[in-house]
Amino acid sequence: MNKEELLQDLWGKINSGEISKEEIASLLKNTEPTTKEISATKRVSHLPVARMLYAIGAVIVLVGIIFFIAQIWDDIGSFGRILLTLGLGIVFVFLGADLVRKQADNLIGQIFHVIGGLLIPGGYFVLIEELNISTRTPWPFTFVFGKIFLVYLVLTIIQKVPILTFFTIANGTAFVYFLVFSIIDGIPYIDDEIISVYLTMIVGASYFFLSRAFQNTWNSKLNGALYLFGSIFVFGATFSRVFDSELWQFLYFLVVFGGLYLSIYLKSQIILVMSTIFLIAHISYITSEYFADSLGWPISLVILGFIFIGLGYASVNINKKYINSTEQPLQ
Amino acid sequence: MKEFIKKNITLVLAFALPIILIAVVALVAYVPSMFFNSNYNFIYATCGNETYYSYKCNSYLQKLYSVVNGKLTVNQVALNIDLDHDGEIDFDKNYSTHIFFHDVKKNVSREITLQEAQKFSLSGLITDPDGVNVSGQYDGGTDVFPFYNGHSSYNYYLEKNKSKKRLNLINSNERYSYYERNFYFIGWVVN
Repeated sequence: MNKEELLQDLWGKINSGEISKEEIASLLKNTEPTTKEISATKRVSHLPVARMLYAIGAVIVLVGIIFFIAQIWDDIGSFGRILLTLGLGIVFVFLGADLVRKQADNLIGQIFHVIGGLLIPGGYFVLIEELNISTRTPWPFTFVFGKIFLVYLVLTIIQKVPILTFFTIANGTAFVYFLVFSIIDGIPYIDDEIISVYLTMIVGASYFFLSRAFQNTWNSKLNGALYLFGSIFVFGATFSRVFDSELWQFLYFLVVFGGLYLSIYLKSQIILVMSTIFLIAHISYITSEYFADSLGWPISLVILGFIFIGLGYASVNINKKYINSTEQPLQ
Repeated sequence: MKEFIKKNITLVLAFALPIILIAVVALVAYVPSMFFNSNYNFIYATCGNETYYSYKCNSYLQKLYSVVNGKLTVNQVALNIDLDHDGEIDFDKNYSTHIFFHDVKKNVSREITLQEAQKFSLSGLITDPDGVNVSGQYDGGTDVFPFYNGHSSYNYYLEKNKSKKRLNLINSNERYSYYERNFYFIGWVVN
């Protein structure tokens, strides 16, 4: 039904008395934006500038703190060093938590959380150094990141702010890595490198699951970053296995095609782009490994070029058809 | 609980995957050493200069201690000579040596006197009667991007075929532990 048909139909129903003019007027009144909504829209349109100023301010504050601490580092003693790094970080987190509690929709609280979140891990490292805690094994760092992860997990459950979820994920990731390295430290028959590759795949997969869980929630702003790092972790870690194993050379095609399917399922341009980039990298590797000698480099390059064009075309079409059918920010 | 898991299955999987990997790694790392041990304790010696590490100390220990007829024997070692003609005297007069008894069940060492050590019946073989030996290995520490630990050390293990168990020897967690020559295995205690 086009517009004219719709209007004609509507006019017919008004004439027949099925719908009254008052009902239509009431419907139109209800859909008109209120003054409150107009001012909210205006406020939202100003937010990017405010956000930029907040971000610049946070960077300036952080750089200032770092330079200030560096200047007086040698003169303040152990207690002063711990106070100025860890202490300051904790103060910023408390201020951030208080500001978020009082003004949930104001960004200033989240900016305080950013500063605190960046200062606290460094502060704990200073604490370990100043207390002369042995760092011959990674266990002290495991406990530090485990503790920070738990604090941020509790904070984000209480306050429901994306920046807190971000720090929960970041510290949780560091905790998982340090925990695994602590467990395998000094175990001679376990290969650190292989374990780290599989761990990175698992962490990347966890990011995908988190992003799926965050869809249409207050954490959905983090999905772009989760898609990006999830893709890099999964496709990058898996790609590193390709060089050692023919089985992985075959399996990798399944992994990247799985990535393409995932990009459609999650409607994510980022996963689509990353899958395509890693598919191109893999095809380039396979070509150089198996076909460069038999076909010769010039022919291989021509074929590769056409494959790239084909993959680019397919990628753009997947995006148009399945992902970006509606206007959405890059995710 | 079941309802929560059903509703939040993706969130549960996000947490479950790393936890499962950690559990598997812990099992692979700890289980083999939990069930592997020697049935025999052993004694060993360490040697060092109080102020600096001497790389010839281990050679000194090899010459100083030997197992003869199942007993620890102390040999005379000539000092102030240069047998290898490298322009330096072979052994320092200021070496301090220590003898330790290692309890393999508890995986702890305690220092003993020379007289105590000489009371034990020792096997002069490098493997115990069950075929377990003490071997050293250089551990480079965790050095996977982006977590460079940088702490390398030379550690000792009970070893038989592919089974290994790390030994907590005296000095193994402190300075000099990255030098393999700081440790000299004397013998298994066979009674």
